[in-house]
Amino acid sequence: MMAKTLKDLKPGERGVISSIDLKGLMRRKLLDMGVIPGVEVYVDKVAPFGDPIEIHLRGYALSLRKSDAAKIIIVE
Amino acid sequence: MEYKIALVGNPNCGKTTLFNCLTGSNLYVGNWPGVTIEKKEGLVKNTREKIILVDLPGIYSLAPYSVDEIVSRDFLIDEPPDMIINIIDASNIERNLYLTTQLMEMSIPMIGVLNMMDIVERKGVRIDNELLAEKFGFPFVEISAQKEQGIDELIALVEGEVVKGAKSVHYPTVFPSRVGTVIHSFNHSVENGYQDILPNYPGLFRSIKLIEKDEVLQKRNAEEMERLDAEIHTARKAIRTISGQDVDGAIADYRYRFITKAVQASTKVIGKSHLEFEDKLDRIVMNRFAALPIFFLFMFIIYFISITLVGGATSNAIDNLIGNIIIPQVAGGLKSLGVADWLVSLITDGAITGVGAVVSFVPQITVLFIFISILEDSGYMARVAFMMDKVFRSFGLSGKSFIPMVVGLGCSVPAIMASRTVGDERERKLTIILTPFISCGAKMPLYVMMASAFFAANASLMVFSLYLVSLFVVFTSGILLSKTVFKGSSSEYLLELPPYRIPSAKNTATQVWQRVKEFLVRAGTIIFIASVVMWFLQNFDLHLYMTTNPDTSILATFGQFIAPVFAPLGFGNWIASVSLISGIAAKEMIVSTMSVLLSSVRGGFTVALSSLFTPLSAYSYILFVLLASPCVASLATMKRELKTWKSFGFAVAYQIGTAYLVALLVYQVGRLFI
Repeated sequence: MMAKTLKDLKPGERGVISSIDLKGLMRRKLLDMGVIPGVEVYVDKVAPFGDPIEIHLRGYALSLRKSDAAKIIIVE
Repeated sequence: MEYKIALVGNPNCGKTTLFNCLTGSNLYVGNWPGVTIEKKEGLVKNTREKIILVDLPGIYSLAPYSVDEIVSRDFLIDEPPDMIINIIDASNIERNLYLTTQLMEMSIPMIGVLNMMDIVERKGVRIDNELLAEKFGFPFVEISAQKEQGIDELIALVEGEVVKGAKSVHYPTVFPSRVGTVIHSFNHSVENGYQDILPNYPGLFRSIKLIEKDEVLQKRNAEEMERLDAEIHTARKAIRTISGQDVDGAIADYRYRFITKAVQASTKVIGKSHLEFEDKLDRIVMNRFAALPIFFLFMFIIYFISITLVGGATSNAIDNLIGNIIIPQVAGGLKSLGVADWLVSLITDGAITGVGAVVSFVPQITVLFIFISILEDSGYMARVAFMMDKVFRSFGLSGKSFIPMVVGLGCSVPAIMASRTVGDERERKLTIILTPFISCGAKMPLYVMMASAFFAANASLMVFSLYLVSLFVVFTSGILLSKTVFKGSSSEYLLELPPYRIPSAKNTATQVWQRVKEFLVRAGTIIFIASVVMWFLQNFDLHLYMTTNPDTSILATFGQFIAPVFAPLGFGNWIASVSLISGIAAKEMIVSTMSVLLSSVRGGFTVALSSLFTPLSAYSYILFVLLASPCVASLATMKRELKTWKSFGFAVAYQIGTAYLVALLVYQVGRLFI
């Protein structure tokens, strides 16, 4: 069974980050912005055209693309 | 004694407001060397000593992902300030403190400033800043920059601390002791065995960056990193073993663990959060169905007010003032003083007219800047980038590129400068090349003139079609260029959506004034010089004698020479080409040149126009003007932002080439039907 990812969370749902399956620049940026294993995120909304998504974590709002969210694994 | 202090913080944390508070109006805006990022310096007000405050670009971390971050980091290492004021958005405290933990490794005395305390209160939270000070090792003060609360206390504290003259400090390490040991023993080996490697770097910072295999060091100091390869490898392996994860993940994790612990200990929720208004606003403005229409409504209002209302009212009035009052008065006065005719003409037709072209544009562009500043500071612009990202991704850009293009509807000069917010270099360049395709306000007089002369009943439809054409060109060019010259797909998109805020009037005014000033100085000077040059070309013939017959001027001769080039586009007459060339100075000049050149034709201007154009060729002409490279001020800005002549040359060639092609197609295909 495929692991649950941030992309699978619907607006209004929460999840705890398990791991980030991205490499390079995007991975470093996510880490800097506090998206690291163990943090709880809340999916607030999807952009009007369907992408990107807005998540809330550590008290602020961050937007990222679904293609990247699909590589962020959520704890089951 | 003179002290230098750096102001460092995340984007959107109110740094600019704080900078303005601390320096009053004593500021200087320049540039960081080699890059087009603004450097702001000012003197802190109300102090006994001279304290210079340097505003570093807003950054999320000292890791080198963007020019902003590299500039800040280089400054802190190469010109270490006497103190760092780290401004922190307390309503978003954890992520802001991440940068803090990195700054602590620079061994420079620090003061933490918790800003936006008014929002923290509204969220029902209380922060114990003394406990934070205990955990982090340096003082924390609470302020609200926008409400100007706590500023005097901050200034007093800053001055008190900085005159203590602490040379270098050691703040608590954020890493657990086992990892700390690894880093310290690494630092020891470097200090004892490799004294020549990065000696000017603070020890702790240097060690961590080397162990992290930092990108900037990899580029600039590859050889040193090679020599330390064994030590780096050992340290990385040790950290991997201790943490159970990759080095970069582990380091970020440790930082945030330290932060979370400190924040949890010093933060207390004491009441309910009262941010319902912002939430409701967000629901409406970003609603799936309402978002785009609301955006277009905002844009329409902004353009209607700035260009139609303000622009219409003021540019006519100013043109009138200059043309019918100032110029005749000055001309009369000068002539009565016996000034030579050519000099009078240079001053009135050249210089004053040139200045007039810029000045008449100032009211509308000021209003435009006000709206844009409000959109940015309110947090709405970030939402717009969020909303448009999917669309822009389809042609090789990201939502962030939308903002410069929106600005470009007013004037290309600030639009091209706004491309700095697009992080990725490839995207930034592409944005700069595409933005001028968006019609700027200065081209409006031409559209209006042509529209009323040739398309009377359908004038607004014609103008609307122009915007559609420009959107189409931007879209297809984006796709084409992303597949060829600017190969690559849209980069890492990760955008913070700052909370909705009501911008302070004072901040907006300061920002707008600075931008108008920059526009006046940069665009103004260039357009002015270009107008004078244009005057010369229009009033002198090839023998460099002044001529009263415009047909024999240098410009006319040149126009006649290149006119045939435009024949396939339907306007191969020299008046059309000469007017086009004059548009290089400022787009408003196309209309004025044409009216001057046609002033001798009997029957009036509209009749004269009809002798030069048909509706089809008029449309083709407008399309050419719409798409061809912008005025000389924008060209200069483009060159600055693109840096190399190669990129600039390509940009100009592409823009003019596209303009020619589109006008050609429209005219030739149109002829088959009309």
